[in-house]
Amino acid sequence: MTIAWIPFLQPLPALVAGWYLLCIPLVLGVSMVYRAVWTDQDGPWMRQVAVMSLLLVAGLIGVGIFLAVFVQAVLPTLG
Amino acid sequence: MTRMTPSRADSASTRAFQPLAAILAWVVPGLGHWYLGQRVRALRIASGIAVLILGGLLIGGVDVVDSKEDRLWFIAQMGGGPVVLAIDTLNLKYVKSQPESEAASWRALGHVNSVGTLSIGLAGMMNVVVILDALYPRARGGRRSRRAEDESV
Repeated sequence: MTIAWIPFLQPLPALVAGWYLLCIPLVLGVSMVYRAVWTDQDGPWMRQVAVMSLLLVAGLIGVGIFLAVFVQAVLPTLG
Repeated sequence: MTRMTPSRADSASTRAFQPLAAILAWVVPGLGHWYLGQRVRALRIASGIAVLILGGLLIGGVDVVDSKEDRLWFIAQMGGGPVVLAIDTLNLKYVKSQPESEAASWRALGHVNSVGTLSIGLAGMMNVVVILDALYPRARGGRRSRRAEDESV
């Protein structure tokens, strides 16, 4: 008998289509640690984490759009 | 929450070199700052590293930590402390040792494997930043504090 899915031990099943959404927990974790180190202990940590996460996601989307345009539109014109 | 008295916290935080804090920060992420009296910061660090490690495990399972097949990534991941070593041991001893037909459902492939591996790798590398911050606690505080230190010289 096979067990369907064991969280934290087996990989997430059927996540091929929306794999890019996996960057969100990754960005959140990086922002939490970075802001924990660089924000004063009584500072607005959660707000800064939210702002940094949004900026990182926006940056990733921007890089994605730039690379897509470059590969699809610019590179073919270069021959 | 119990807080360290200001005098002890200050004396611990202002010492220039803190090897014990750095070791503690590697053993349990956040523990180094807890030792330095920066308990709020310690909890924030621990929660951030936990999000990265647990997120990586949730995405890719234990297969994302593999000291044999992904050695370079494993070196980066080891910054996260002994918990990564425990995950690797679990993977090598119990998952990889299964017969091929059984092991297939435990293997992370493609993007799932990449993002899971990256997540725990980032946890390790971010914890190296934390370890360095615990090792030299006076260097912490951001641009404003550093500017204040410069002006006081």
